[in-house]
Amino acid sequence: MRTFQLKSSDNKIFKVSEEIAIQSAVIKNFLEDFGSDSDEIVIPLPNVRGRILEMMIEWMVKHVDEELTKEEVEDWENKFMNDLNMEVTTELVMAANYLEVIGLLHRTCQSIADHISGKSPEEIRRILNITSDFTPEEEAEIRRQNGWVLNPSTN
Amino acid sequence: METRSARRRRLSNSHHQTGVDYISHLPDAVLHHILTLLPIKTVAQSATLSSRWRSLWFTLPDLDFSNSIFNSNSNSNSNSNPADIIAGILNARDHKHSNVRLLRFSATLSFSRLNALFRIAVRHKIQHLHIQVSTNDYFNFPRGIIASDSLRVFSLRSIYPGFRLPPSSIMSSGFRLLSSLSLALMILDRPSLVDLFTDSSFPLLKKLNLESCSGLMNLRVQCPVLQDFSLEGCFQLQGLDVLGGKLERVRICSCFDAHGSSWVKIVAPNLKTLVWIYNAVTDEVNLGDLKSLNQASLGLLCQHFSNTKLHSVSALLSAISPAHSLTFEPSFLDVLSSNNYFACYLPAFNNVRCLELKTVSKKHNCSVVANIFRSCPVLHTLTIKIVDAPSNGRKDWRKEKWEKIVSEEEHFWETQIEPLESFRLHLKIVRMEGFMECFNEVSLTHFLLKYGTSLQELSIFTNKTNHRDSLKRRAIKSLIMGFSRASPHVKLRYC
Repeated sequence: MRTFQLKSSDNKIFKVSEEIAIQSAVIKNFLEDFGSDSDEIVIPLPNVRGRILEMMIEWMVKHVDEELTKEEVEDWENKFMNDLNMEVTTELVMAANYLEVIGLLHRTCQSIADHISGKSPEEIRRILNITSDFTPEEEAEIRRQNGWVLNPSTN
Repeated sequence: METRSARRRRLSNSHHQTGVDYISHLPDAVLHHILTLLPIKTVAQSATLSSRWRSLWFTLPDLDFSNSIFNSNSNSNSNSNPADIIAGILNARDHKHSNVRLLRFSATLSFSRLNALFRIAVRHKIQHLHIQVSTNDYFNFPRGIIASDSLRVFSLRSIYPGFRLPPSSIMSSGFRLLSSLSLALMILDRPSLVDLFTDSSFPLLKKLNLESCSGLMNLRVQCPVLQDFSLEGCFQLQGLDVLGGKLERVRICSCFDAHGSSWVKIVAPNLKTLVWIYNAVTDEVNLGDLKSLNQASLGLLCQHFSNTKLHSVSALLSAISPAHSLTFEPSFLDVLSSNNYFACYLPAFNNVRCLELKTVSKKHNCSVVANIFRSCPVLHTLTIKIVDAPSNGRKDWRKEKWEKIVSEEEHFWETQIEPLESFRLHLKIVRMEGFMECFNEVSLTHFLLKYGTSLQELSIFTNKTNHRDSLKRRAIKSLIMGFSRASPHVKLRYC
């Protein structure tokens, strides 16, 4: 099994095996194009900082572990996600999107969706620190357009 | 020592109180991905968060209303009809850059509202349109959609009462980009649909699904790049002609249930999967050479079955004989059981490695089962699903009587040792689901354990719904666990 190095934006080096890294479609394509058997390959990832890359590799390692059952991986995923705050979650989303790690992208997006699900706009603004930049007229207009979804109490 | 997650939390929390909005800075594509994971009402609500989120709502590519319950507040001065709401949402977008890829909804509508929606969908260049409607009367297929130069996936299901198709010449002139078409509950004025799916119409169609086509008697399908064809609930069908060099999957279900002569001809040299279930046996079957066939499921209706149709059953069976994986529905076993003479002429399924038998547990089908086994000389995995509770044999569980019948069946299986030699040497894995502790199941288990020399695993899953017979259950379990085993390493499970 080939191994090579991933270099983060802050110049941290992580050694990974091919089996783990090809969960990223981008790295997979890179390796196919590169086609060398050399262990000296260093793949620079200027959009991902070391701490995020480390967590991403942690995720990918868990997802090639054949000793784990599907349930164990799910439990691990849930714990992994529960430990993240919104800043790290969004950084992971960006990294997974950039490197096309589809499983991680989907799971992190789902986690953000779970934060939004079932909440009122006021609650969502508070949880995600979103500031409204609407004028009162604009807000009234958008509420009018969306009359079909709003609860009678907020109408 | 500080764990990684504790450190992560500590480092993260230092930012938490500063109130940074991380989410809104994600790229549109990612935020749209997140929004498609939410109910559409929540997404519409999120438009009130900020101008960033309003713009995300107005550019959301997939509008799926299938699970939303529309606000039926009649006091609201906004229109509460689902069609008007959807039209309003689409019309609020600039139709030249509306970015709608998919629209899916299910509603009860009037024709004028339905037609208005179709017009808007075409104007917005929607690529995937999935509509499920019930209307107050038959409606005509929306002609505007035919000439759409953006539509790729179209599904129109009438729940009630159905729709009429325009003439084939008009239909086949359009749909130049369509790759998937699904129509349910159409009413045909003419019984023949042989000039619609021709070798020049629907040039990019890969997937075609037709359901409940009322009045359809003759159908011909020849679309040049079709890969997946499914036909269901066309009871009046008498003639089916399917031709496709790219066809990989054909599913025909609940068709041909008519009096009068019927025929089917399928020419699909690259077919990989054939599902043929709940169909009456046709008078003629011509399936050609299915040399690429991998999987086949077979179930036949016994209605209108007569010995004159035996050659059709035979033709079906030889057509599917190259398959590697076979599933037989209960009704198929009935057809075979109804005529033991015929059962001797099962073709050899020399490629079949996986066999699934769905059976209604009956007293005297062991000879049919043995015949099927004999036709599968290199079977690797056998799955038996017992789908219905038998009344005989269970109620009648008196030890002496039960043992007598078991011994009769066991005697039968003893006579099969030699004919089933190849089967016994190859079979590795057996699963029995819905095990009812009937004598025929027990005697089959006994036979497989005693003479299955290559058996690696035999798992029995009992039907857990009945707790009353637990004493009997325990007796049978210990009986089975005590059976002698030809293969020393067989893993026997009973749960």
